[in-house]
Amino acid sequence: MSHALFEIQDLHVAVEGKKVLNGVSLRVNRGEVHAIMGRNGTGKTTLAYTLMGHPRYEVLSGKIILDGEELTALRPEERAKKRLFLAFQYPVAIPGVSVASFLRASLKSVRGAEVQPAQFRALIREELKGLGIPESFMTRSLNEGFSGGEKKRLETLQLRLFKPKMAVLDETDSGLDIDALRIVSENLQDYRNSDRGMLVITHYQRMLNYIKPDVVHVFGSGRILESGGPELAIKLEEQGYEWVQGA
Amino acid sequence: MKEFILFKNSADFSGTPKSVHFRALAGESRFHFQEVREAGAVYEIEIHAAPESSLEVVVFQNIPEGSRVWIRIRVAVEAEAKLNLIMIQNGGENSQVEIDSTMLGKGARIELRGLQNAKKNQKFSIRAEVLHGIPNTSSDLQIWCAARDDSRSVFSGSVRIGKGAHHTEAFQKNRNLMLSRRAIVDSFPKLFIENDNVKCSHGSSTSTLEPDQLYYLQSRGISADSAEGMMIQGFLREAVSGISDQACREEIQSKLGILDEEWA
Repeated sequence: MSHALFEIQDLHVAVEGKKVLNGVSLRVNRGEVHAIMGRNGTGKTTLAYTLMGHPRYEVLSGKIILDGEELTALRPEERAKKRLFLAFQYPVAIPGVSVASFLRASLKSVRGAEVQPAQFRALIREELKGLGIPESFMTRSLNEGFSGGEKKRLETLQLRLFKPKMAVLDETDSGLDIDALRIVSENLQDYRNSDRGMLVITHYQRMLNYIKPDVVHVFGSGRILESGGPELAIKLEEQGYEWVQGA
Repeated sequence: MKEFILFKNSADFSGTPKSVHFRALAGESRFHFQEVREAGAVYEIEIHAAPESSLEVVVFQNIPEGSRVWIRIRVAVEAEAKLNLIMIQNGGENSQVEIDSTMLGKGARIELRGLQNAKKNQKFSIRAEVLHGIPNTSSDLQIWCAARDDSRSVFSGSVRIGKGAHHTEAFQKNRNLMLSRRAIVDSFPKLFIENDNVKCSHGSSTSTLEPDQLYYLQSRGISADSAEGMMIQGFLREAVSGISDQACREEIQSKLGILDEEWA
């Protein structure tokens, strides 16, 4: 049996001494999109941060594996170089660091090679156009004064630029108006192919109308309580979480 | 406070004294750049903004390593005039800056920005005083400090609002970025208010690099060292962003080691 593209094995995590994840296990095969849905405060963002190696989140036991390589002990930048990507729910602002400088440095790090200025600009311009982001954003400070929608568009641009094998999207649909949701979702859907995987954390079915998941998981009490097909997301939208045991 | 006054006597300075005047005549708009390069010198800088003028002065201290400088700046701003003064303490070992500014007419405004880019064993002090003696004037005093290695920096700010100075607006902020456990920063933002009909604030913040910003950059493949470097550059870039003359701003950014990705 070939290995999964991305695997989480019995992950237990604590934050400042408090246990938050209680045995999360998940397998994402190549080409698959998995959705995680769950109530507020159930540990979804903790899972996203832990996958990307946030130092505040302590892995007590369990493994994170990407394309056969274990990432659990790696620093965030090493995970990024292995082509794992996290689209943040609340991307931080970094005053004084321009979007262009940041993207150039990131792209160089993720690719492990210098990108020529002309090539860099051509790559960026194509993505800016596709996401409807004005070119003037390039000289602005990273995420500073950006609206929620602008931040999410920039996160999506980075995903498309860095071309990760596996992308974790933490509530990328939050803070988006209808048009922005469509543009971002279409760009994410366009990114999808038979070699890549995605883990979409969301509260709502609306994004999943664009990015049809192969598997939907219900998250509660720091673990996966229920898994099913895309119909599970629709059921949750209609009936809420009351019927899910432990949610 | 006394221990932070580095120099009291100009006789201790063997360099050639420098005397510089910058002024904008009535209705004029002027920009001046002064690079402070003479080691061991006392610089006396006089700045005068005539009525309804707009004046920007950038003073960039860039003396050789191990040397000292004393910079004394006197500022006068007349009615409806605006002064933007940017003072950057960068090179050398010991630097003392004293700024005394006063408003001479209604509608006068002073924006004073300072940056202390302190590293190694540097000792930087800046004392800035803004005097509001008449009604309807405004000021904004902001001093930023990046404190590295074994450096020692001090900011002492005084905003004085006299009895007759109704409708004064005066703001004062000191922002310190601590980049070494050995670096020491002292901050004394002060307000002396003798009139109730004013808007004033003063504050000081001292922090290290923000962990969530660091994590975000790392999550994009950037090593912790490089990410810290980017964040420090971001801090310095923000501090000098008020320089309106692009060529001057870029030259200073370059001298501060700030690398910019060109986007054209």
